[in-house]
Amino acid sequence: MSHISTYATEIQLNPVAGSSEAATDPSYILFREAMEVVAEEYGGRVENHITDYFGRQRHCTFGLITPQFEAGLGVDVDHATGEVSFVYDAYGVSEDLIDTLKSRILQSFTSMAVGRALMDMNYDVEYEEGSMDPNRPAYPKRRVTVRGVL
Amino acid sequence: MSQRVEVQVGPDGEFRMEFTGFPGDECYAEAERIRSALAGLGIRTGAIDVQAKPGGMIEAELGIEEDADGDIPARRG
Repeated sequence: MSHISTYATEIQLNPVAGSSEAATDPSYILFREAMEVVAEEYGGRVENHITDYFGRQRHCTFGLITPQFEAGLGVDVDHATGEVSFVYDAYGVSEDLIDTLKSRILQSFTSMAVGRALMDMNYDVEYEEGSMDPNRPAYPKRRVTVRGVL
Repeated sequence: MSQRVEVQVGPDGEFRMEFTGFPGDECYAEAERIRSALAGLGIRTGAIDVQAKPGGMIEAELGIEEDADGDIPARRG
């Protein structure tokens, strides 16, 4: 028999003792890689801080800085629980852009995690990206397909 | 026939897994193994919907067709 199943997801990285343990934890490493994928798409970079409207720096676990959002979209991870939350100063920035960046981070992380999980289970894995709507370009509603073959 | 998993990941991380070519109930165990691996990578999953594929779809995947009299299923190729 074969089946089709649909899942909702919640990101909760592995609990760690501190920053040094986080640096080697697979969930933190993968999350950073997913942020870097999105940064590359938007011509940006990943830092460990964001800034507010007044230019004051605020430390965060990961900070996505792009030309469209120079203050940056930050991600705080609670080391004790692994809980993930977004932090940012939205002043002067389109909420649509912020929502799109958040979605892309979640989607990239999930698809990369699925690919990694399948590879660890000895599947041959390939990725394909496309639009949710065939009549529209991939942005902002993009679908990522991960295929695994044993 | 090879065993395949196709996973479509939507804009907010929700995803749909389709299993093909797994014998018996093995696909359900495989789904649990994938969910467990994802938990180790920082993704908790909650099942929204789980559906067995209809018999016709499975037969099509396996290349099985019934003859006109509905007698013995034949495997293609």
